[in-house]
Formats: sequence, structure tokens, C-alpha cells
Amino acid sequence: MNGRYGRMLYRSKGALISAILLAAILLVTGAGFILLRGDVATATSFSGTMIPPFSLVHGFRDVLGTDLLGRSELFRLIVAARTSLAVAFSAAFLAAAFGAALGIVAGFRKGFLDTIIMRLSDAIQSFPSLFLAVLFLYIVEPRIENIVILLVVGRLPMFIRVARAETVTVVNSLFVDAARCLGASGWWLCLYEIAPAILPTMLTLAALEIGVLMLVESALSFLGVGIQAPGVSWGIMVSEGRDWIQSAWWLTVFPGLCIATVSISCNVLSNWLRLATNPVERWRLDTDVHAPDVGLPAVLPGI
Amino acid sequence: MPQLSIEDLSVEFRTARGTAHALRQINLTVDRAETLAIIGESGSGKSVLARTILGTLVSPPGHVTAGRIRLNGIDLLALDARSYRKLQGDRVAMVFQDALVAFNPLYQIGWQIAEVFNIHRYMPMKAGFERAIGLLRRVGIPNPEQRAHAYPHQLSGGMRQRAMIALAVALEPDVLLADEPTTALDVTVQAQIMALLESLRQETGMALILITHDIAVAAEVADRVAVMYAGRIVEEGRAIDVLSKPRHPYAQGLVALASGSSATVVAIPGLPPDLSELPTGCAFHPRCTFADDLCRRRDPATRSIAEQHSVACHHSEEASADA
Repeated sequence: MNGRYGRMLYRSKGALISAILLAAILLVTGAGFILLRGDVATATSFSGTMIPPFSLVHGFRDVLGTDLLGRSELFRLIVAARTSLAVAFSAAFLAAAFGAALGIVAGFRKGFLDTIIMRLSDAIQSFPSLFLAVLFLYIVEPRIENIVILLVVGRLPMFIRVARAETVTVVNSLFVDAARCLGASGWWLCLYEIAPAILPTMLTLAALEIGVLMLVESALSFLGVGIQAPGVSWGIMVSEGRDWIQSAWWLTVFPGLCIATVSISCNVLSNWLRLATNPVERWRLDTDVHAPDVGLPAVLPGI
Repeated sequence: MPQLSIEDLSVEFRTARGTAHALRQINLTVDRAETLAIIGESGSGKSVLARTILGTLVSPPGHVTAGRIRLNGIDLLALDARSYRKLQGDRVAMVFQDALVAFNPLYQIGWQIAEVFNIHRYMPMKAGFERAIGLLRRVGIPNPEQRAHAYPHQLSGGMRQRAMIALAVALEPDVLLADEPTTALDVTVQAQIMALLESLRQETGMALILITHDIAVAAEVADRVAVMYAGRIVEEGRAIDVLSKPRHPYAQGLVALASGSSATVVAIPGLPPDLSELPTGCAFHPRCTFADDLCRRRDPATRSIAEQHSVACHHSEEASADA
């Protein structure tokens, strides 16, 4: 089976490239934990400020340029990846998991529980999320955990809505009915019949969210309630570099490129995964005749 | 004691548009190893009856307003949801019309059959899968070791229906309900599937309730036949009696339609009634050639006209004399 997934990935070039890019970013981030110790990312060097990228004159450290304080752009990117990836992936995953659970319950049970869940999600949605964020992070400490909680709550309604809508369609399909006729309990139906059926949609949605989440997280920093200096994330780097976009483009372009790469790769991969995990459709990825290009997603979030 | 007995069962659907009387005073019994065919046109209540027996009537809007269903003496309608669930798929099982949509498209066939053992016998899925292979072999699927790994869409219609039957008989139920099991299949496969159901019935001694609108199929396999119209059983008896000498005008029409040379076939005039606005008296009277004032006024009681043959018609004597 693993061989089959490998083959299907190899045959669909877009997904393969995305997987390689994501793996590379994760690898570099991971390697950073071992190689970038101490303050290398925050170390300033006033003898070499605003060095343009792609020159090795100042050594490997400055290959992607330096900022106003002479900090290495490359090292900062690698360290910032930790925060960005951790926040975006965990928030997307948690929002998808909780949203799916609540959406399934709402769609499956209907009635009172449905009403409560949906009205709660309406309430969250109707509240300006940035205002809520500022308020919340003013009260609690702006640590990563709290930021993740905030992002999860803020993005939850969309997941709930989609999960509920999907559940309502799946619940009415005959195979759920058949399982019920075989004596399956409500829990069983939710876990083994409905959840697997809506999982691909949830994955796609979560992948779309990753780009959005990275930007929202930087918006929080911009408002002064997100990650605090000296902590850094890609989003923060973009907003910091914004002031020098005409003189030092590399300060915005590189972190921006990182965000775009991660979110597009996740998108393409989730499209591929959607096809590859569907037993009825996956032959399309597994034949020699023609492997369809999974292609770029229709929506590029927030970019 | 009959395997399954239904006494005075009435089911209503209460909707905003009114109350639909889906089942009205159904009385039926099925013995061990017996095949009962329930025939009738669409909307006559056949499927509602099956759902009610299975305990999967959607409620609301469905409500059982009266009656009892006894399985081996246990009153099913008095059971709580959990105990009922223990019987579903175990003592009563169902074969669906379209196996393609009745199987979950995301799981391999073998695992879906294994689930039944897992749910009811707490058997590990791996062991259930082994049992599934045995069952697939028993229902005549060649190469069961490989087919157990097939997804529903990878099997042909006939194979899928066989797999569906394997799933339904996995725990050797006492009563097997088959709701139009052959309607989605072509004629040669139909015969094979019916033969398979018959042989399983003889082997395991289960009672088979065959819901169909195909009178030829009913004539071939059924021991007894019940004819339904507008939520009522209008005629019931041994298959040979009902199908060769139907007494109810509606049953006569059905049988004539099924057997008639096309030259003499006359469709039953009119349409089946709206179940929420049943005509007064006998529900069939607007379409019946024998209808008179009595029919318009009073719904006929079910009466026994011969040994094991009952009919609900005021004029069954005239009707059968005429036919």
C-alpha cells in the first residue's frame, strides 16, 4: 500500500514538488534546532547592516542578506519557521478536529444540540475576530499556546459549518442507513461512517487555512498582542520589512515566499490527498495512461 | 410459534401537510424457513413495513400508533433503543435493493462484513475479515480472498448483491428482509440471486420476507403472498392460491398485469390514493369496478375465505366469480 502511495505521488508532479518543498522546509527548520544555538538569529552586527542577498562576500551567514541591525536574514527565517509552522499547523489541525467533531454532532443529532452549536458558532462569527483577539490577548499573556487557542476559536465556525453540511448529506446516504440496520450505534456511525467521509473536505479546508493563519498571526503581532520580540515569525518579518520594501526588498520577499510556499504546497498536497485517499477516484493517479495534474488550488488564501 | 408475528400494526407519518396512514392494521406471521412475499405497487407501504420491523423507522415523522411485532415471542416495539440495536443485523437483517449505495464506498467489502462481527460479537476486525472471506465463498463469489479486498465500485452488480447478502446472513439471522433484492439486476443474475437466497433459507432455516413488485419472482419462490394496497394487506394466503385465484379486485388486476398476454392487459384505472387523504370506506373503491355504496361507506374487514386465505373486500365472491 505504501508503495502505491509513493507511486501515486511520483506520478503527479505538482504534489511531488509540493511534498519535496514542504519536506525541505521542515528539514531545515528541524536542523535549525541543532545547528542554530544561542543567539545567532538575534545577534546584531552593525558593521554589516542591510547587506543585499546572494553574495558570499560576508560569509554564508549573510547569503540572504541582513536587516537594519545586521541580523542574518537566513538564520532569522529558520528560527521564525518554528513559530510560524507551529502556530499555523497546530491551529489548523485543532480547528479542523474540533470543528469536525462539533459539526458532526450538530448534523447527526439535529434538534436542540444542533441549535446550540450553530448559534454559538454564529456568535463567534458575528464578533469582529481581531477585536476579540486584542481583548483576549490583553487579558492573558501573549504566549504561543494562547495565540493558538485564540486562532482555533476564531476559525472554528467555518469548520463547524462545513462539517455539519457534509454530515447532513452523508447521514442521508443509504450506506449509513444500512449500517444502522445492522445494529450500529450512533457513535459507530459518527466515527466509522461519517468521519471518514468528511475527512478529505476537512483536510482541504485545513490546508487552505494554513496560509490565512500565518497572516492572522502576524497581524496580531502588528497590533502588538501577538508573538513578542525577540520572538519572530514569518508574518512578523514581512510586516517589519514592509518599511524598507523599496530599499531592502529581501526583508519582505523571503519571508513572504516562505509563507506562500508552505500554504500553496499544503493546498496542492491536500488536493492530491483527497484524490489519493478516495478508492473510487484514485486510479486516476495510478495509471500510466495519464496522471492528471492535481494543479493549483482555485483559491490562494490571503496572498 | 411463528418466527415473526405482526399484530394490528399501524404506522402514521405526521407531517405539516397532514397525517399519512402508511400502515393500517397489518397482521402477518412468518414461520421458520418460510418465504413470505409482500407485493404491491410503489407507495403501498411495503418498505415502511420493512423499516418498522427493522426498527429503523425515521421518527419523527414516523410513529407506530398501534400494534405489536414479536420476534421469537419478544415484543420488539417494547424494547429500548439499545436492546433493539442488539437484534438489528443479528436476529433481523436486511438486503437492500441497490448494493452499490448500501455499501460504504470508502471501505473494502471484507472489512464491511467484518464490522458486523465486530459490532455484535465483539470479534477483532482481523478475525472478522477471515470470516468474511468464508461468507463470500459461501454466497458464490469466486476468489473470495482477493474480492474481500475489493471496494464496492470494483465489483459487478451481481457480485455486489451477493456480498450484500453475505453481510446480511453473516450472523445467521432468524428473519431476513429483502427489499427488492433483484430490481437493480438483469434477468439472469436475478435468477441466481433468488436461488442463492432460497438455498440460504433452506440451509439456515431463517424466515425470508421478500418485498417485491415483481409477481413472477414472488410466484417462483414464495410460500405465501401478501398483497398490500394503501397501507393495508388486502389479500393474504398461500402463494399458489393468491397468485392463481386472486380474490381481491386489486390483486386480480396485479396478477393479470403480470401474467397477461399484452393484448388483454388492461391497466388498473386511476392512481393509488394519497395516504394522507384516503378515500372513505375501502381505499380501493375509486379504482374498483365492483364498488358500491357499501364500499364507499365502510372499509371492509379482513375475513378468512378459505384455509390460510384471507381477503379484505366486500365483494370478493362476485369479483372472483367474474374473473
